Amino acid sequence: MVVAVFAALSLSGCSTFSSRNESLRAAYGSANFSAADALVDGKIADQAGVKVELVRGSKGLDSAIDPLKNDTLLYLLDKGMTRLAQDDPATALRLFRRSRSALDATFQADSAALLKELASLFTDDSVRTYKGADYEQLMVRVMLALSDLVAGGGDAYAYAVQIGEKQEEIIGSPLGEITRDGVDSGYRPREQYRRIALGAYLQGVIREEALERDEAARAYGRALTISGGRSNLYTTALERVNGKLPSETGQGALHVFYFGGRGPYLGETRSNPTDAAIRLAGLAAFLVTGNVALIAQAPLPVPFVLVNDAHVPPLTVSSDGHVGVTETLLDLNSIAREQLNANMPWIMARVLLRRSAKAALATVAGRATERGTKSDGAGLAVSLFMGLVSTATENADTRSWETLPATIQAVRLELRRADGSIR
Amino acid sequence: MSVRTGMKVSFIVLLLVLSAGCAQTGRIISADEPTLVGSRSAGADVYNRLIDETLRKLLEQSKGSGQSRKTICFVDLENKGAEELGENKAAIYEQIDTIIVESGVYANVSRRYVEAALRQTGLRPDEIFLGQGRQQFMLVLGGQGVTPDYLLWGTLTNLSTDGVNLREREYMLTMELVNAHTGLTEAKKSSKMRKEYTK
Repeated sequence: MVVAVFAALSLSGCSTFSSRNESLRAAYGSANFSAADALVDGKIADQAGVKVELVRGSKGLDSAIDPLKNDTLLYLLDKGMTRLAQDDPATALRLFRRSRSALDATFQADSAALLKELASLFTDDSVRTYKGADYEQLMVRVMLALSDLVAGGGDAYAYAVQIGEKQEEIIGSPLGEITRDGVDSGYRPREQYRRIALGAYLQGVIREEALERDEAARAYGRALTISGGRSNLYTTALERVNGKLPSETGQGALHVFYFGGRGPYLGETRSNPTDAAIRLAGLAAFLVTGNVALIAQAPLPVPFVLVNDAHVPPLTVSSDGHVGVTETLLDLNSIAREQLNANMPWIMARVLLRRSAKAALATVAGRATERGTKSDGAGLAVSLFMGLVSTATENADTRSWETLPATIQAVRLELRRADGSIR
Repeated sequence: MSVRTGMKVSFIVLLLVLSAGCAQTGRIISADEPTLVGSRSAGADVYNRLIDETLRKLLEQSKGSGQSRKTICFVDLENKGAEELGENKAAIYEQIDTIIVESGVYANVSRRYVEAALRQTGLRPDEIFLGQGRQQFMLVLGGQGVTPDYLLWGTLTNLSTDGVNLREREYMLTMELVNAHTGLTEAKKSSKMRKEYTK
């Protein structure tokens, strides 16, 4: 019985998420958005357990499509990107909104939530309900704000505010804090995150458009502070609303947001557990099980960030005789890498715990076999076999929102004619 | 890790698998049951109350005596808060429409006319309040035989306060009745509502 359960739980997956999505990434990355959209429909149908016709007909919005079932959520995010790329911001908006609500429902604010999920000890991380990387929590709100601006939904300001609110919630959350006998693990990965300023900037843009200069100035000031004063776009925006850079009467403003390059995704590698990971796993094991026996010798399967486009050149935008060059406001390659590195001790700790739990189960099975067969050799063979199977079949969790761009860049042009062509 | 620990954890896994298969259910909510209070955002209850209170106060303040029925054109509800109106927007517009018509004092310009006029003029709702924009908008509506006396505009804002494991949010709706011909504000009312959320 124990062997049967163990085998079922160990055979959790032979290929990783990222390897299963190569064709989707290729289609989307080569701007073949209709093909990518069709591929995403198939993935959603497969993950949500519904017919592909239902997904296609409802553009992924039918209520029978449960975002929290398997990896549906990730493909709904992809669907939002393919709809946005195909000039359907209204559908993208609804898909992102649904995805955001699902991400909110799974958001882990503290370590208690992390300890609870140790129920996934016997499988691997890719079997857990997808919680979303912390930067994805922000990116879904960025996409909501930009989609709403394009669709004219009237909620762009709210989404822009939500970027900042969620960011502070994430950074201020005590996730990682684990104490044993009053001794703090000292591990707070989210404190290492850098803040993104795009939400504050978008708030400023919307308030400036409504001629509310004071509010716009406050928002631009926040954006400039968050960016460390390094952004020309934020600096000139602040100077403009403070009256230092006059705008001519009759001029209109054109903002171009450029999703530049193919975004990062996750691959799998093997890495030796760090001291921090071993310490965390020991604390977690003590809190959950009252036992700290860990097996920490072999390299662990862990995700790492794969970069498609490391350098995305700026875009030159011209209209009505005015020329501007985009500035990078978000570098997703760096953000994904920094956040994954910050969380790596906990990712490794989970694998360590899982491996140790499996080893314990293998020992149980070995002893049971030994008693049943009255043979020491048979018991040892069962233990070794199960140990080998569990290690060999373990995968890193490589799930991520793979259709995000590598960078989000922007440029602002002041134009006299509203109907001029844009190149 | 001990044998006992291994068995304990596997039991947790089994429980999760068994509890995962609960089917979704639905039921009809009777009219006398209270509206569900949103656990993460304002929701229907907050919007219903704010609109009902604000708009009725506004219409009461601005109604004249013995005058003929005036026509109101509801232009937009500007969202300056931290929560999107999203798919609630259509229901909110319907509620506003119903309250205006039920007042018995005012008639409301159909939303279809308003949206068609905005499309035709290429104006954003806030541009109607500038002289030139208002003229264009009124001209298009007038061409359809619709001449509003007032333009109605709403603004939704909120203030947030974070406490330990709690967030309090105050929602405020302001509605403004603007004379369509002069551009002067003739009546303005606000309502507030506070809500507490656990983090």
